[in-house]
Amino acid sequence: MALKRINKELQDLGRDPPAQCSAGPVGDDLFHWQATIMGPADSPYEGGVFFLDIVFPTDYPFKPPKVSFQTKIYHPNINSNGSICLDILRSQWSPALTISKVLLSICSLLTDPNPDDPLVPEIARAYKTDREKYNQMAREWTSKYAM
Amino acid sequence: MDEDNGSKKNQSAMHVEDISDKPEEATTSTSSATAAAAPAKWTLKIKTPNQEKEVQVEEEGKVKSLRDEVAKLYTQPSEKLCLVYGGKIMKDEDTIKSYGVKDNHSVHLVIRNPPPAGGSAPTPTQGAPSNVTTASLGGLPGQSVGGRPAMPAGLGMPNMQNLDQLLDNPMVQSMMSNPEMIRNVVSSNPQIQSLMERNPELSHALNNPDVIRQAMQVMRNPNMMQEMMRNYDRALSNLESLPGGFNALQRFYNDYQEPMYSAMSTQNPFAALAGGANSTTNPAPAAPAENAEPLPNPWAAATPPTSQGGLPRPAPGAAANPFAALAGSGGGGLGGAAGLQQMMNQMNSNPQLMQMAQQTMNNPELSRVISDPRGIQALQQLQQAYRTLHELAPSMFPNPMGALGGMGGMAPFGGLPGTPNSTPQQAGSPMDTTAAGGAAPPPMNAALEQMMQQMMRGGAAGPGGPLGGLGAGAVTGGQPPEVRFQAQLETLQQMGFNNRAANIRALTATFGDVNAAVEHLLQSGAFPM
Repeated sequence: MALKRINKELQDLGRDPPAQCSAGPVGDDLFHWQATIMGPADSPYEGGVFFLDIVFPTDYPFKPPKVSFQTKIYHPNINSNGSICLDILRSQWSPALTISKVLLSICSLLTDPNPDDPLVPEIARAYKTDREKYNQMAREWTSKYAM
Repeated sequence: MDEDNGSKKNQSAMHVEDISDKPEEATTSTSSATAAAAPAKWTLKIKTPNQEKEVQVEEEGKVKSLRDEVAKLYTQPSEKLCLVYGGKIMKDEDTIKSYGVKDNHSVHLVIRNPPPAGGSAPTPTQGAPSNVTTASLGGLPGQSVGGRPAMPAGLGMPNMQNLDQLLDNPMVQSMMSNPEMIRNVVSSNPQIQSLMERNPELSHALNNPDVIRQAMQVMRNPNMMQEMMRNYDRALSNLESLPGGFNALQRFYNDYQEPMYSAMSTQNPFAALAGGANSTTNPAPAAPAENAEPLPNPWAAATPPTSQGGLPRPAPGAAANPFAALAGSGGGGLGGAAGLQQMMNQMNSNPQLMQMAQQTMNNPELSRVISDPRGIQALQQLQQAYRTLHELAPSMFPNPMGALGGMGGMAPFGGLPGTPNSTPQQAGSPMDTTAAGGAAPPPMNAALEQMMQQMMRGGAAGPGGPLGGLGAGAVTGGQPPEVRFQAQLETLQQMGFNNRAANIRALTATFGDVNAAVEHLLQSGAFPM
């Protein structure tokens, strides 16, 4: 069941992936994928390539995949472990979602952080109060870790 | 372009069939088939965030050759290009095939610019900002990056004024300003006690009057509150990185939050009022009783007993008290939040109730009993006694919780930590209340007892008080399963379980736990997989 669904997602991704994301199995294990997200053009992450690690639970799609950033990123909703604070990866997961939608959501999270529900309070504060500094830091980290 | 799209669709349709017929061969068969067709050329789509071009490459070619092709296509120096497929950066020396690329697949292209020194303004090379992605996300089901839509509106910011009033109440203040009293309450809770044993830091916090006072401040100040929420989120995330922590959290969310919210969202104001009515004899403690504060971070730690005002936790995640989850007392946080919301709703909709609550709170006798440790102890004993009675003669003393004012939301986790909170049975019926009257002494004491019980048993998170609880109990009890479990039903539907009747049966049997319901459905064979 899970394998079938993962296989289907893999085929769909190979043929028609979202513009800024790409994903595929790391090795032979279809339950362990890696993904890349290109920093969205209208964000300070532009030009960066961010790697993510995806682990599918055996009862996928009934449980959400575990998605985490492997590349360091300066973002209010992503911490230094790479954990992502995104509702659809937790409480709002729905079996109707796919990896490609999840990755797109993460892309849009990069463009529009959610400082009201932060994982890293300091960054959220910077984002809210000193946007220039946030932009600068985000760009610095991007060029340091993601290029 | 249209044609291209059309043909793409056809292909994908065919491909899907292909996979569903023989999923395990899908990956291998295609490539071997094409390989047999000799030095074929592949057409690959090269995607950048804002454009897409096609390139022809030899099937057996190396990445290097693809890169050179792409460099020509995009008129960029080859070394600036970075090709990505399947989440991997393609290396020059590998063959294209080794990445699992197939004919007609898409490869992503990143054009790297030398990192601007000092991180200056964004480089414009990528062309116009593409808001497309963001916009297209609007259609995704159930997802929101900006906020949490599932959060019932009421929980967000209940009536702050009422809260302030409560907090300004002299009795509440005097209770709060007495750290001794608060410490007393905290330490008499076995759950908190065990927590404190395991976390010396926490016990330090709970024993520190400064911390307690600070917690009070926090409650009265929205800004500090927000700050606290941040810390809380952080604590959650830290928890996640513990081994097993994430699982506990996840389980917690799935098992409790989901049914809880759906139970709350299908509330019936009249039922709530009716519930409130039969508790009018002793609505008082509702006001002072509460504390929806889970104790996930040291800040919040002190709040459970102190948050007399029925502190509205703005975050939905608030419901999920990680410690409670780990400690196996799952429902604690949620019960609190749910009851709390009920209470606030009810208060807002019924000024009389509010007034009554305030009056009772001003009753010096009440405050004396509450502030006397012996009084608290006595109440605990009473409650214990009643529970014993209930165990001995369940029919005579129906439901300890229900009887004590129908703490619907609470009962399940008080009694059985493992069950979902939305169990409907605990509606506090008038009958129950009468029974309580018989067993438990004067109304005032019964009321106090409820409060104490909540303080003690609610553990980390106090419930919304008898009012809230009552409301919750009455509300969930009075509705047909298809209304109560509407959200879960939808989820099941999305999963492809189309038999609505069977879904309802399964949900009823599992008290609204979607995961359990799925298992139920699969086992019962109601849904052929």
